[in-house]
Amino acid sequence: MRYFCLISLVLGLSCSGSKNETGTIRFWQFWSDVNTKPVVEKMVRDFEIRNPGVKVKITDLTWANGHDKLVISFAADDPPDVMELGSDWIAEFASEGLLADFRSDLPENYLAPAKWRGDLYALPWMLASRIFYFNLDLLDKAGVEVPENRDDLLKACEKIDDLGEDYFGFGCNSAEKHRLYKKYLPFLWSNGGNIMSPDGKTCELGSEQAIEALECYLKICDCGAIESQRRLEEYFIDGKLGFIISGGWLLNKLKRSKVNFEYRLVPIMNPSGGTGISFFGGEYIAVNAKSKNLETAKKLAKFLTQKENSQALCDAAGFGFPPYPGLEITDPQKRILAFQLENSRSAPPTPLWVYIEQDIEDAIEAAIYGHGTAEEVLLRAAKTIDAKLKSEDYAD
Amino acid sequence: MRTKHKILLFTLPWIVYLLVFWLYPISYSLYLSFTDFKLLQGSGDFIGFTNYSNLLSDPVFLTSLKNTFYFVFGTIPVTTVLALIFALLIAEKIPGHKIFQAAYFIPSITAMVVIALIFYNLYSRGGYLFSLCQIAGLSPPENGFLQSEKTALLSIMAMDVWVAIGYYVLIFLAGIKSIPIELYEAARGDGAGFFRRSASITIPLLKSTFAFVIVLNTIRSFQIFVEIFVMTSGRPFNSTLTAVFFIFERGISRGSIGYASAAAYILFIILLTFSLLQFKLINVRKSA
Repeated sequence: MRYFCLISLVLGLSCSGSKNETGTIRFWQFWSDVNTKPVVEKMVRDFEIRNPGVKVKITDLTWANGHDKLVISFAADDPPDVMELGSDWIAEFASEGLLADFRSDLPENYLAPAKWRGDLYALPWMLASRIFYFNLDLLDKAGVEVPENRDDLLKACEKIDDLGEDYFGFGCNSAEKHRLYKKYLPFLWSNGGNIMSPDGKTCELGSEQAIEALECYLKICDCGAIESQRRLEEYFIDGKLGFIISGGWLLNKLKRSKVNFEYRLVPIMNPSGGTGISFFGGEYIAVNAKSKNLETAKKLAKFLTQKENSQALCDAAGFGFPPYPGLEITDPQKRILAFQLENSRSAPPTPLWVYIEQDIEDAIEAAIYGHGTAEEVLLRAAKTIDAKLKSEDYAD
Repeated sequence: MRTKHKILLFTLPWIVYLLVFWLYPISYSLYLSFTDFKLLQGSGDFIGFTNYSNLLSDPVFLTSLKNTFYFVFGTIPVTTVLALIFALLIAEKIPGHKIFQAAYFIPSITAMVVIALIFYNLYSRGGYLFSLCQIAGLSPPENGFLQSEKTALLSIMAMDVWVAIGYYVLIFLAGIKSIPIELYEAARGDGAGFFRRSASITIPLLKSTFAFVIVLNTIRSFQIFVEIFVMTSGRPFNSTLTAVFFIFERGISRGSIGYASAAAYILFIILLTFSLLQFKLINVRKSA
């Protein structure tokens, strides 16, 4: 009996340890390609070594249905402990009390998408923006100068489109979920327009600036190719596209493809020239508020988002920036991307964003396919969004 | 042990499975259809028939139903007729009939996601079909078949016919094999050719197979989802939005499970009505 008690005690002690430092943490994330997945796995292994007794189980998600899977996991009361979220999803989960709160000293603009009613619900892991890519050879072939304002851009698009049926002025997104609105918003914001009023109670898509921005977008779409983002990027790499709005990943692809034409990264422009405002997005790490290992889960979130880990992820991905100020960037093209990031804005942090985003994309799509003028579709969208904002008591 | 108890014991696993994984979810979704249940909130209030009345005035839902009907009535006759023709030719044991039989069936056993991705590329601007049209002097839609409201659904329908034919060829072949060979021998003796034999013997005796194929194809076509999910997500401008995709989009992506459940029940009623009508028509013809 004495031996039994002793063995039980030894086994019990070896299996326990500090209550918060044991157990399995389920981590759902989106990095599944051959370059980034090993980096994420290494981060997780490092965390496990530093926290003996903790096991982290990684599950890969895709951007096509990752949001849906997360929603279902919460609905089924079986969510992961730690999860990667797109910057514009955080408010949706936070407003239902599903996410644990954090504290952070990072710059306010990096934290803004992760805030809901003043509290922080996720930590930034990687930040990115969108920028213009110009094919200088096509501009030369079309006999036009590098555009510096929107009128020049439109003229250049027309000229490139006239080069023949293999060439397109602009890469216009087809109605891809989570992508189309990101192309329109830079035009809207650079016009001085907004999606919602500062108090979040009314939609401002019916404004003159919003309508003018969509009219401009439609005009450049008229002399462009309507396709998925992936295919548009292929067109650009093949030298068929004059202009495209894309993120840092395209720069990476262009470098890898060793393209035989000259290209330039140009910040989003204001109507009359000068730097405009682009879309600010990023990957954030959040923790399930009801996690059985809440402290360990928070510890993992903080560990993943440390500067060296964020940097390692950005290096492996070949784009994006760690959410830390004062980064040393030697690559001149990446410096332009970093400059644009500082001149970017995130979508308004509202739990209704998933719906609002869809309404905006529906409106743009309707206009592209000729189901109404820019004014008509935006006024309709504004009315629909206003009704949603009124029906849900979410406004601050 | 009495026979009744034995039967119950042996069928118990299936009954439990049916209750837990079929009847309970079906009943629960009926309850949800009368609530404003939201996935993330995990709760909802009873709102009576509001979801149903809202759906019947929701232009997007009505468009999804219209597209679904278009898909069903556009594909079923083509699939059925082509499958029958191929089955008749294969049954005639034309040279290489085994190869044809296997070739027709291959798309049916290939994952729909894979097929949809292949066709997505074929239909794109610069894809093979696009280029083929250009070579043939036809003018394909400027941005590819799936980016045009006029051709997107038609393109998916054409792909679906190609995918589905093989399965129905096999069913028709099984039906043809069950027809007594003596009938054909007698017809051949009377000098009946392929067309005469098909029209006078095969097709009339395949009535029950026709019924099976049409009912099966109707149910399958009303439930079209994967193709839409992979290729268009209901775009452009809802021209490829089908009822099941609408249910998925509203229920899962937007989390309005109550609303989506009501839509699912409307689709269920439509499907049930169609199936009953088809059976009734077939029975009337049989008794006639």
